[in-house]
Parts: sequence; structure tokens; C-alpha cells
Amino acid sequence: MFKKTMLFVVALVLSFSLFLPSAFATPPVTPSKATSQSQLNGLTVKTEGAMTGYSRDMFPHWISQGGGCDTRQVVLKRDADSYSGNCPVTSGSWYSYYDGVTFTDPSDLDIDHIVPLAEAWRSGASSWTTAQREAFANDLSGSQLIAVSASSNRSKGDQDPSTWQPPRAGAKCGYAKWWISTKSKWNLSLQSSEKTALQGMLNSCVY
Amino acid sequence: MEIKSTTFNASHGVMTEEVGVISGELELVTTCDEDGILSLKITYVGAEEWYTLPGEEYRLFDARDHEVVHGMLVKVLERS
Repeated sequence: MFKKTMLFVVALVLSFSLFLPSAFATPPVTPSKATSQSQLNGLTVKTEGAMTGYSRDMFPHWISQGGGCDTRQVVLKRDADSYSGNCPVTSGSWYSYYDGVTFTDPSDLDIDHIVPLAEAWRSGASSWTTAQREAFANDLSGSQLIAVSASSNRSKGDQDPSTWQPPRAGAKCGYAKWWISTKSKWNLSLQSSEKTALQGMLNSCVY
Repeated sequence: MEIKSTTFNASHGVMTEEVGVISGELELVTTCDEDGILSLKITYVGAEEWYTLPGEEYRLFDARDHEVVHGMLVKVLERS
């Protein structure tokens, strides 16, 4: 009897897995809790630099990714549960990870730079070359880009996790991991208030 | 035409039309002409681009109120 129940549960789990969306609506890199902790420990704590000379033009973003697609369209497709149209994507379904709301009109979505451009500027990117800043602003291989609601992206703006965290409680762990991973990959510094906030968020992670 | 500029610290940020919330050391510049037409713009101290504050077509009844309005705006943005 017990075995039969187990078999049923296994069958149930298997059948559910068939209905998982093919896309996961999140950046490709999400380290484990332990990896994130060691990355966080490795970041340099430093007071933020000045914004002297900053403009978004210093970070050429949404560059061409080939096939008539720019970085924004590539992320839009990557993070969709389903979509139609190809550069531009004309409709689809997107789950905004930050606020837990689903959208069907691509114009309701922004591609968020997990570590904002202005935040990057004051934590080290001001001394980079434009080519480095372009690579950072279009980084599809790391954890820097995610499609989320335009409203959550606007309310976040340039803030770090000491003043802004995703409103959906379940998003804080992933957000902290992506933030840490991006700063670690790009060798950006962080402030002590930011580190405290990230540690608190990381503590909430189960794995 | 009168131009007023104040720098202040907005630790929790100020909403802008172009880039959402901006924070840190900011500079607010307000301009008022003889007819009381008021324009507002904001930037990071030392940065090379300006942003628009939400809302438009502000007009003061008396251009002499510019200074008071400018001061009020700074106080509100600083604490927001």
C-alpha cells in the first residue's frame, strides 16, 4: 500500500514537471547560498564614489545581438513564459519576479539592470573604459539583466538593497544572489549598509 | 528669468520621468520667468545629464514666490 502511494506521488511529480514553463523568467546565473556568501565576503567595502561625469551614454546599452535583435529583445524572449513576434516581440506572458504580477504587453516590461548603471558608476565603473561599461550594461551571460514590471523598475531606480528590495518577499533571496554575483563578477565595491542588507537577505535563503 | 540651484542629499531618492528614482547627492535647479512659468530639473551632483521631475506646466501667481517654492521643493525632496 505504502509503495503504491509512493508510486502515485512520483507519478504526480513527474506529470507536474511536464507542465513547467520552458523559460524561467530569471537570469541564467543563480549561485548557491554558500557561493553567494563567499562572494559577498570577497567584495570590497568602500564609500561610494562621486557621480562626476556620469550619464547613461557612458554605458551604451541595448546593443545589437544579431538577427535583428538587441539586448532588450533577447532578455524579453529569454524571460517570457511564452511569446509571439521576433524582435520586436509583440505579445506574450511575463511573470515579474519582483512583484509577482503577470503581464501580456511587452511595453509593460522593463529590462532591469540588477546593479543599476548609476550604482555601478559610484562603485567602480567610473574608471572603466566605455567598452567595459558596454559589456556590463549588456551582460547576457551573468546575473545582471531581468525582465520585470516597468513600475517596479522605476521605483527601484538607482538604489541598492539598503534602500530598495523587491516588494515580493519571496524574491529577496534571488535578488540578493544576483546582486552579489554581478558585483563579484565585475569587481565592484559595496557600502557597509548595502552589505548588511545583503547579508540579511541571504540569511533568508534556504539553499 | 531667475535660476536657483540647491544641492542636497536624498538617501531614499527622488522620482524622475526618465530613469525612475535617483538617490544620493543631488542638485535641483528651478527656473522662473517674468510670467511665473516654473521649470524644474534635477541631476546627480557633477553628472552630465538632467532629469525631469513628474508633473508639468507649473505657474506661480507671483514670480517673487520662486524662492519660497524652490526652498519648499528642496525640503520635500530631501525627506522623500
